[in-house]
Amino acid sequence: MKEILRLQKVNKSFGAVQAAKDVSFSVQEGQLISLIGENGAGKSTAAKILFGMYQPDSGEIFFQGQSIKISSPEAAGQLGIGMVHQHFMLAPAMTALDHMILQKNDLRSFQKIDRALILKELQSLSEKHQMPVDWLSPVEDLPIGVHQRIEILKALSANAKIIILDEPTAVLSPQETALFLDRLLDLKKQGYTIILITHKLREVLKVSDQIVVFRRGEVVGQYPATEQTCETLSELMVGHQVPPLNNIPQAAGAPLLTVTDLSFGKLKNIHFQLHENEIVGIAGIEGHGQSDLLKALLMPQDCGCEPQQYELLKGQAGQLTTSELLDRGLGFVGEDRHHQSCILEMNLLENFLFGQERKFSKFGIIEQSHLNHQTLEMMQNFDVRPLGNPLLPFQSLSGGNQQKFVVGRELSKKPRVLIASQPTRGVDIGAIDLIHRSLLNYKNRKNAVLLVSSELEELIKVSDRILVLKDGQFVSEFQRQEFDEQRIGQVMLRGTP
Amino acid sequence: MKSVLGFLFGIFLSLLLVLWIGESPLFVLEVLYRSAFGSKYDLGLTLFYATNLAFTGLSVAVAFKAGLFNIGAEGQLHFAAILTAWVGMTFSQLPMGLALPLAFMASTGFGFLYGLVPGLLKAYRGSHEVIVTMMMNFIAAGVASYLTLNVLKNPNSQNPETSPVSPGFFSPERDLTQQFFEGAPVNYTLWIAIGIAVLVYFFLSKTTAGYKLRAAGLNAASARFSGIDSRKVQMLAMGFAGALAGFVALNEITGSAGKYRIGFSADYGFVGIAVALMARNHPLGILISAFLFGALQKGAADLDFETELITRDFARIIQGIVILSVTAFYFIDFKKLIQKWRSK
Repeated sequence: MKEILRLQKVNKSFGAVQAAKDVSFSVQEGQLISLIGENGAGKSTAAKILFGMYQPDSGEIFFQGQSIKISSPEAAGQLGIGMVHQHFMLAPAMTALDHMILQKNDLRSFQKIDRALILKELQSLSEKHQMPVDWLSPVEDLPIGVHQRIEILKALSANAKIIILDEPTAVLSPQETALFLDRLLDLKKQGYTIILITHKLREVLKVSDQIVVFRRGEVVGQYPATEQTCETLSELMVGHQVPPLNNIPQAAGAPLLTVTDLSFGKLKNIHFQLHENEIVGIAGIEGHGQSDLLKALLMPQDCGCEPQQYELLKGQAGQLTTSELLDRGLGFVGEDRHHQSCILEMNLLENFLFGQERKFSKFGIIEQSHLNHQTLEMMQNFDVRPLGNPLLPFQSLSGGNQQKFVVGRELSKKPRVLIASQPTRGVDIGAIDLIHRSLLNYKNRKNAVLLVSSELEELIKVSDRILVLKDGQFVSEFQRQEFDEQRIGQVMLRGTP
Repeated sequence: MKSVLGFLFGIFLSLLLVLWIGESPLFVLEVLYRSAFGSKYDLGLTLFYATNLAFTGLSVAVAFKAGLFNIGAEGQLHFAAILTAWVGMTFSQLPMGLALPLAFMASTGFGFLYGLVPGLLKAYRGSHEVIVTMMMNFIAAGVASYLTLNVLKNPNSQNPETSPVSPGFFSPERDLTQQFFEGAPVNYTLWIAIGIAVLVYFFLSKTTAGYKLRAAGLNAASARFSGIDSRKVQMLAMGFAGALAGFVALNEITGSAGKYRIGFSADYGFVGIAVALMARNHPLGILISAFLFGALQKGAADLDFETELITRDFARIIQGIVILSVTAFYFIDFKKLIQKWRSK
């Protein structure tokens, strides 16, 4: 076993924030090494330094024993380092084939492109790695799991020997994740070196040879996977023990939200009810109607909803606008934070004002001091850091803090029904725990939560009831005492237990 | 700050150009200075240009804050001007106390309507506002020419212009501002421009409506989920942009000319884009950048007289260079440069 890459005392700062402090770890050829840590712990920074996207302020990188400088992603590519980013960088209207042609750098300008030949090459490549792709469809029509395959095949076809994957399973369902991890192990068997960035500990333990734990920009240590358990790892990541969550079920009260016989998009004749004191989890593989469900609940007008099909707090809501629904007592935490729940370029105050314009204004003029006060109070309650300067741009917060901010804002509006979609996606353990606790706390005050999540583990942890969505229908319902990850997973996949 | 540095750098580059074509940069600077601020009359003329540019700059900025690019200020101001002139000719019996408020409503109202059209098309039909406003510039020019030459033509004039509006609408001898600047065309609308800029600033940063406009402009997708009707915002923002451009009509018809003249606008609508750009769409910054561009516009005319090689078009070149250099300066991270320079 030979060392192929090593970081030695690497430092990197962004303004006043030190994202990497004396980071050192080493990667052995043909191994699968995981970089784990909470959001903002420095794992992505380290990976981006390896891929040449960032230049370290100090420290050295060794490639096959020699000190080198990786000045750009192209330079990294020449060394055989490829990276699959967390947010895929694909143009929606282009086909998968076009994307592969785009990155071929052995083509000259005005050269005729032999698409048939390239397609054949790609088909054999994807067959070899068991990653089937519909090469001729526009990327926007392909599921997100396939986007990921395209990105990986892009790296492979560019002759990468070391592949860095940034949070690859964040977008996958449990079954897809299992398949994906098998593919990674196959790649490893074929001699590829894999650097996996993730915060999901069970995956890490399943596939890794080595684990590097990051905390607050520093490397806590590098450990062989066999020596660790979920508990020891999460303690290393957080720096202290995480107490287990305790969902004490309460008797469900009066219905707060009722949907009757609703069809829209992928949804076919959906019925369900949310009651006081309950969290209802929606399980299902992504793309089976979750986004249509959310759209119908938030913008019923645009979805051709009949007035009587949707009831909110005993009133018909099928013809209301979004702002009327929000006024009636609906709260929303979107899965896509940047496009549903916040405005990155605005400051914290303005993001807190989001959707509460009426509450914080008099005669249409914003009440600054009131807003300022409430923003800081919410940030304190939800442990959003850095606390103190509410004029910071929202985008300067880390992902976990952004999400805590959004959840905190929505809960501080005191809605009766909260619709939360993937509220903990891409968020660190500490923040996940806080968000889960606040959801439980909230529902116990006679409120209801509709929780849509692709993480079954999360649904099982906090839900009182789980509905399984498949092909636009609720195919099965589980009560808390019947929760079983295997069985629910089966239903998600096949539609029957 | 960066804008000012960029502006100075742009002037510096322009002076190099002056040197290259064989004129003295110092002399050019002197002429520019004298022309813009030399006398009360000169300053008054500069302020007159600046007033119009402030209105069009604000028009572009408001649309921009809503995520829209208003290329149509030129058309909006012509449309408003010809119709305000018509109002001024038609309601000839009104005393000043009623005529001016009516002119105020006409100029902004017609501007609003003309801006609303591309806004509506954008919001509910998805037509791109750049294309639509550009086409509507031509339409406005055509409509204004037709009305001027065929309907409202001044029978006693050789020039392509309408008959004068009634004295209630236009009486320069009672305009104290104009008196103070020794008869320069600057007039009471200068103060309206300043007031409107402050109002726009207040609207954008302190009111919920302004907040919604900015939110929809930055992130329409998110805004929708918070209950903001971004289509309504787009529509109204274009309307407001048109209303702001319409103020130019107020300046022209009731303040300086008293009639509609074909070609009266020195491309105010287009230079307004540069004015907004240089101020980074900050309403109060627009007052300053409008003044600087006004000075340039005024200076260029005098350069034409006083030098042999420099023509009026040179102002365009300077404007172009200044815009490029201001834009380029946004992307310079001075803090980083200083750090780098220190560490060396």
